[in-house]
Amino acid sequence: MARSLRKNGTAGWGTLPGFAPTMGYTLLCLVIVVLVPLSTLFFEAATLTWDDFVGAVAAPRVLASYRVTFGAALLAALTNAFSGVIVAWTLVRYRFPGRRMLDALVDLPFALPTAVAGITLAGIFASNGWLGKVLEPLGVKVAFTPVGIWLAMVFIGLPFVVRTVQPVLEEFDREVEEAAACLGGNRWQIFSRVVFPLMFPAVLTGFTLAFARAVGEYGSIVFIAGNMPMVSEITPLLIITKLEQYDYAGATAVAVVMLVISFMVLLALNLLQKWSRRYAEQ
Amino acid sequence: MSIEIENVSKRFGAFAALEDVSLSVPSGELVALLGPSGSGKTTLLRIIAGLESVDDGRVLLNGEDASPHDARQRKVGFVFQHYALFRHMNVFDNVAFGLSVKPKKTRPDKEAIRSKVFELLKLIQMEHLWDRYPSQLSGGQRQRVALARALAVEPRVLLLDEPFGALDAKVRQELRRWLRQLHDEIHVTSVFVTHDQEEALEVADRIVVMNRGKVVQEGTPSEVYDHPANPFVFDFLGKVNLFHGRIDNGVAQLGGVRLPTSVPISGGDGPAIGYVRTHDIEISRHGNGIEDITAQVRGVLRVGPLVRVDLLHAGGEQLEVDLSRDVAEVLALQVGEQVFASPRNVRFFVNDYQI
Repeated sequence: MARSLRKNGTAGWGTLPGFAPTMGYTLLCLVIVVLVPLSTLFFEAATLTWDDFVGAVAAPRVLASYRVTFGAALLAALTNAFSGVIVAWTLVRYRFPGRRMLDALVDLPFALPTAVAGITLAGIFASNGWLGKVLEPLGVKVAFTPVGIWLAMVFIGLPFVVRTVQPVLEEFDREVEEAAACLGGNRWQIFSRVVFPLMFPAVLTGFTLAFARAVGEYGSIVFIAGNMPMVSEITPLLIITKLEQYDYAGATAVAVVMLVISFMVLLALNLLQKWSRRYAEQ
Repeated sequence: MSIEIENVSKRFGAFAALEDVSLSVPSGELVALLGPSGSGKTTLLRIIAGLESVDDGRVLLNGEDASPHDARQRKVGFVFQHYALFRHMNVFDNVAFGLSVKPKKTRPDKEAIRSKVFELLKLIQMEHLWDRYPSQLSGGQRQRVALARALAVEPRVLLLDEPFGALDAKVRQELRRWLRQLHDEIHVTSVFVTHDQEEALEVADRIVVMNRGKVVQEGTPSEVYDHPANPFVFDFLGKVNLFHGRIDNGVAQLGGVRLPTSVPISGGDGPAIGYVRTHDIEISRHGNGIEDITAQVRGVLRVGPLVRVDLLHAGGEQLEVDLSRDVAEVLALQVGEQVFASPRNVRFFVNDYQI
């Protein structure tokens, strides 16, 4: 088996130790870290009868939580894709005092405990908070609404897009832009038809990571979401609630559904990724 | 369309890339900017294209000051050494780019773009590869696509920055012959940068030799090759031998031997350096007269169609001589034997020692 895979899968003898040890290690890692924990989820959920399972995962409150979670995550990842590109662009293309500081600041959402982020955001956007005081009279309620969920997801997801797009922009061949300019392209045409398509795969990777992170986020959201059933309750919170009620099977059933949806979305994004790089050398 | 460069200077920090360069390229000519790296030739090309600004002086395109226009407005075709193709577009879309970004009013319709692109693809003999991506093409093919892309917008001037520099020797030769033919067909004013003297001599109508940010000589290939203005040009165009001799009463001497010169020697007496090309030295076993230098054969090496002979002459300097194979076979030189070397066309430079 290993022998035939090596023949078909890799181009002869490379520098790395070889197919058997590396593939073995990869499988071991994935099995211990990913497969075993996730499959127990399925076993646990399988203790339910089909009707109980459907009852657990398709209750109106649960369905509403899927909508909130995945909807907000999608919007947040889109927002991050947009602002992440602009932040990366600014950091790479311009030299200004404080650039390094700004660059370091980008990673902060990674380092901060998510609960701290949630409490801070809730504090700022509450009706008596700094920004909440300004926004609420304008009719914009952020804290304790789905908007708050979106905001928390944007906060924790931004570094993903910035950090995936940044290296691509840094290595971007400026001559390609010059060539486009010599051919008569204006700034917008050069960006939309040359620069953006070339950084799109990186944007997509960042988008995918930010989306995955947002779907799984719990700590920062519960503080700002308000957690009203049917309105601003996210699926991870629902799972925790079920666990606290000792409904292990119900919790895992919901988790399984979440997992399957996430996996399908990520798979689709991966295919899109492959398509967006179809011009690269095979 | 003609190009005039008037007293252009350009600095990058402390480095003077161009110092007071003036140059004129008549309409329809193919001109080579030739020089070693760092001589400012690429900077000059980029300034003509509007990709670089000038510190001083100005560029006229067709007699009109180009400074208010940026690269986009100058209608100049630019071909980069490393192609700079849009790798996310196929060959067709690359070539069509310049046409498709035109403002709506002047943009040709889809069918017109299509026929124009295929006309160009035919010109570069790549019609059948229209749907390939750049990563699926060879270096020579990529550069041809880059050229077609630049020509698609019918530029007033075509600028090529070391267009064949990244290609292997065989492809390079084919492409430069092809470029020459292409230019003979379409007659667009073209400037190309190269550090390869052979390329410049073969392809260009005129050669502009540059060194350290200055133009050191310009002329037709044979003018520049046969009458180099100074030691730098002599050395840069072709292989050369140096004689350290003296000028006495207008006669060049090397260790008591009078050397023939190609041009009359002006200037005073004193030490002087003579330059002679490696193929302008004749070797014989029996001297021809008083213009012979005795020398010892140090090595004989066959290099393709030529035979390179290393000599050590009586003055104690090395001489490199290129003989044709026929001549070398008749002579059948042995390492260590004494011969006579008779240089022709020696050029002396008295003041300008530096190379």
